[in-house]
Amino acid sequence: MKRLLFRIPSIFAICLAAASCTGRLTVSQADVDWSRTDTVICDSDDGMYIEREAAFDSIWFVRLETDDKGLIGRPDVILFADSTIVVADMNISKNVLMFKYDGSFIGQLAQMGNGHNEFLYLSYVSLDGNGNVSVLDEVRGKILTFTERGQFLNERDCPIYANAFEYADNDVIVFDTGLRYHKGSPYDNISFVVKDGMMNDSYVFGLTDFEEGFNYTRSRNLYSYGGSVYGNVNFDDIIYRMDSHGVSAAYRLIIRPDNASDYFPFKDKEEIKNLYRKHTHFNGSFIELGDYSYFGISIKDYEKQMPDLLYNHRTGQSHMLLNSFNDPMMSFFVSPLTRFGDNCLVCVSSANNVLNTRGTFETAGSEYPFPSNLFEGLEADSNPILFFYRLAY
Amino acid sequence: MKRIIRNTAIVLVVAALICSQFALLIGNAKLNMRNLQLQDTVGKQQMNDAGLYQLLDNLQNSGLETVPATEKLSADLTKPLLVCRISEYNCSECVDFAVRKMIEERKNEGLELPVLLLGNYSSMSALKALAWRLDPESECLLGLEQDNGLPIEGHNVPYYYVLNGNCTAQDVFVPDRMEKELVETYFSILNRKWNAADKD
Repeated sequence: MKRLLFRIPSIFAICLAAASCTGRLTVSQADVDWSRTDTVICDSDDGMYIEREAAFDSIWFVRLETDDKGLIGRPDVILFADSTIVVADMNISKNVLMFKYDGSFIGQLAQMGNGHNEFLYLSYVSLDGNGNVSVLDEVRGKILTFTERGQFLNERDCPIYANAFEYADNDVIVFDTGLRYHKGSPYDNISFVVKDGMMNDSYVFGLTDFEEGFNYTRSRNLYSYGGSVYGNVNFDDIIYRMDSHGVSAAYRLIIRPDNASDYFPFKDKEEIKNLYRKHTHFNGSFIELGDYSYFGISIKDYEKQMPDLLYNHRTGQSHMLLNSFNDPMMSFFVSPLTRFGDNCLVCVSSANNVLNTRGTFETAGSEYPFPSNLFEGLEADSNPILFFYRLAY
Repeated sequence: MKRIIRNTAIVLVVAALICSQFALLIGNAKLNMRNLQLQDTVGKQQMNDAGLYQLLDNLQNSGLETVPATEKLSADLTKPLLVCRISEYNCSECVDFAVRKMIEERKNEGLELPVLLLGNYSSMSALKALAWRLDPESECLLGLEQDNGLPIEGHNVPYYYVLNGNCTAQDVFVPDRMEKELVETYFSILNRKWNAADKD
């Protein structure tokens, strides 16, 4: 008995030493570099408008083949790998599907299940630096990696509880926490956690609670471009750029007149809802392109045009997009989901919606030939169609 | 000493038996209470909603389909139909539970009412994708409808109701995935009420 009593402190000391050696988390809030920040002005009264038709020099579409095993409810993420289009529908069909660039169906990338190459809960899908597809399973806390044609490569533990992630340069991974942490976690109230390839912390970035129980920094989608990952948090009109060098403010968006964010700080969620209902605001839709950045703006007065904004990197000028009613193909330019290549925005339209525009195509002038291959064999329950809009520089 | 140990053991066993019986009694009482509350709720909804909402036009315009068959069906709307009302704006786990539970009841518990998945979705392909994932063999009727005018629409949750022969909504019920027992009770009431009504 005495011997056992003597051993307890030594066992305790060994446990402590082991715990300190097993990679303790060192969370440090990164300083934001403001030296490379572009100011982007969206002024609906005094800004520069251009017709949407004039903004694009080429428009084409890809019809995703409809297959019983490849039905898409609503695409949430679309990835363009070398020879495959990967479409992830996180909420309706809960599926990750592969298509060729001509739209023909290849198959399912991964399926639901509890096996080592299956996911229980599809949270996010991303392309890594080698062109492989990574699938985040939030419930099992795993990241599964496949080739773009669906061959399983590996599975690893996701080091934090995240709802999205994107790859930056030098194997750096940016995790979006969505602020869904249990209290007491080292990342509580942190929006972004940046890790190196070995899953050690590089830095974290985010803001703190405005008041207890009310998070005002719920982060929005991440966008990966050119070795950096771009992210934004609610009620903040700043787009941040994260990579292996740290975090910098890429764009400061100034919306005039009457920006909802100008009324900061807000008291509660109800006040936010009212402000968003009554005032102009950045709606979180952002896409970085080679020569441009795209910003989605929402305004209070729906009779006015929705001044989605294109910011030209070279000239530093902002252009608000006016709806065009001549080219029927412009009717599918709604809330671009992603980019293709350097300067091409991609929108998704349901087959239903496309069929409803048939009359517009038929009555359009001879300048806009009727695209029979868009409608041929198209049914209301066919898979959605991808529309590609290449920006004219 | 031995006698004391034996007596203590007997007392403990008897006490444990009494406690377990008591716990069972409380559990049953709670369940009965719940069933009563449920029947009460169902009854009230029936009173409030019957005759208020004519859904026939909407349904006929939306076009009904089945999974996996793709041909349009002319559903017999003069007979009662169990509707599972879902939306792409509902929490996806709640939609999965509501649809799965309904399919399960139909397959395993002998629910005879034909079922309709009435979705507020952007396209029929979205609704079909959902039905295919949850059960490719379900043979549910599928229909699209943006807003059916029921006050419960504003709560953004999946719900069931019976669309009776007069095309009015009744027996409205919100399935809660944390209260499976309650959902099963709802279906057993439907079974008793509508299976019998059908036979009549």
